Amino acid sequence: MADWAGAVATWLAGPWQGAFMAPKFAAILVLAPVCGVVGTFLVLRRMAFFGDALAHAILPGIAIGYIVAGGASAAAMFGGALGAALVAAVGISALRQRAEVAEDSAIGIVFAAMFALGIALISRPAPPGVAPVDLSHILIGQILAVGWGDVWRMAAVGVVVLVVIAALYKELVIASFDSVLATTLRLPLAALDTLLLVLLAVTIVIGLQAVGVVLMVAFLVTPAATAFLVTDRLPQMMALSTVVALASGLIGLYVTYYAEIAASAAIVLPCTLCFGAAFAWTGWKQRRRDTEATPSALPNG
Amino acid sequence: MPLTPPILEVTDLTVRYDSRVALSDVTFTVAPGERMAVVGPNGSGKSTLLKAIVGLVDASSGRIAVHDHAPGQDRCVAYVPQRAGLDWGFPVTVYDVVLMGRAHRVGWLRRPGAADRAAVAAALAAVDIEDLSSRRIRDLSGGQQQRMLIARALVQDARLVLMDEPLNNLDAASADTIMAVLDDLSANGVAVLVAMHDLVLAEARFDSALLLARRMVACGPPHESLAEDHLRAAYGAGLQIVESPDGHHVLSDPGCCDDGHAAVIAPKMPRRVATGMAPPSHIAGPRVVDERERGSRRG
Repeated sequence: MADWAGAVATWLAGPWQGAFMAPKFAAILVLAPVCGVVGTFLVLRRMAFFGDALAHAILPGIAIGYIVAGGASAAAMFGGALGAALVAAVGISALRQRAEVAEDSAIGIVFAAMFALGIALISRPAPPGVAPVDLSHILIGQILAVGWGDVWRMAAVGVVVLVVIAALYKELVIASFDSVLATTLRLPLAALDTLLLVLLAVTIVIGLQAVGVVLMVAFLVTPAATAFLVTDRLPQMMALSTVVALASGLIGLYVTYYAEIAASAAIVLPCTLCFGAAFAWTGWKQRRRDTEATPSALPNG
Repeated sequence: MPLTPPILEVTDLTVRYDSRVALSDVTFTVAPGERMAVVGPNGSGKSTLLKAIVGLVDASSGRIAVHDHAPGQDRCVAYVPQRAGLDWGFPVTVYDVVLMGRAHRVGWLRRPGAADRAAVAAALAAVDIEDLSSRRIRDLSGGQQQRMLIARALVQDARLVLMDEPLNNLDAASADTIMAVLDDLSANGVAVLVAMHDLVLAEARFDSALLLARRMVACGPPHESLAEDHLRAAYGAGLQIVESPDGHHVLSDPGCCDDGHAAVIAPKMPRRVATGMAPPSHIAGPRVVDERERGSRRG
């Protein structure tokens, strides 16, 4: 028994030996609440596809940041990514002003175009003296390259996102739940919607390094969709979404450490397992409620 | 000539959606405390009129003055939307939704205070759903949903309340509660415009009726504006007036129906009865009990 417990303790302590893994765990600790809260709005507003599109549309921004800085400058790539996300958000809302372009078409057109532009920029031969950009790191993330400097930047941006949401919580909830009420109360609906897009873009930018362009949407949507299945109140949904993201992130790091799987996949798959479990559980509860209700609903057979 | 200035003044209002005329040439006024029924076939522009007044759609021409403000400029208007337009799966409780009506009074960067909580409690009591305060909105019946939306309008302390078909498909208890709320509002000088299908109720319980058919057919005291020739003009060839021992019945196919509602079949009371007393609410128009209400009655 003691041997067994000791083995588990050793296994759990494994990644913490040496300073290498600590900033990776810290990054997950920072990202989980930001993704949990922003993801909740994304899910409730049915904007999952939009979130996916924004993550992809960031690629040219990262490439331009890289080219301008002449190398992998975190600050330049961060600025480029943010700029690209904002251009994509504005482009999509401009396209869908016209009734002939459906919203999902507008999203598809803009994100594919920007993604293509990003690939075009990255596939050019690098100038002499500059290392070529590794596309796969951007696409699938490289949390194992996260250092303390990255963590502090993620934390600073993440705190700003959470403080803005806390300060404007009731207005953002009204704009998300009932845009008609927001209009009749004279809330600045367009500004609130745009603010939420900016917060989403910022969140994606700080999350990219950990989970990459392709799987970013899963880290935003899956924890929130899981929480939606099992909670009744918005604050609880945000809290549980954070817990799911945090647990999946920690599990993912252990799996990465011991099984040497790409971290983004190891983080996203536990999220999916949580969702599957919640889906099965709520389905089972629903069926049980239905079978209990049937006899009393038909008292005379 | 009324002594008090009108709270709402609509002059030559026309609303177009793209090139289609949804509503044209509407002119009327509403006095403080007045209760006006907005009636007409489906697709006749009832919802469009309310949305134009609250500023959700733009007037193509004409003028809407609320308390001497242009639409969208005055917060003294509360709007109760049709239930179908809301996301009932949103994870919020009845209390949360009613409190949303206070957002502009609470103010930016502030949390609701004691006055806001008291206003919510009073509104929930007025529509008789205090016990549902912490219930999630997806678990409400149609009547409970409607009462919640009315409570949310009440906490706004509006001087003009617009309700879009609040009485459709309601159980009798909810309809009675809503009529009682309308009485309270009128007594407090709040003007109410209610889009509705029930001509009997319009005649019995409203100060005035506005009859629409994509244009204004008539407006005035219900016994004048809902006269037979006006109804024929609004409801068209589908209208049949059937004499029977207990008065005459107006039967109507959905005239210019284009939004898929059921046909209106409204028993019309004889004039002498309609002017003296309210009809019992169980005969108040067509009623479809939805599945949720059936479920809750069984349980």
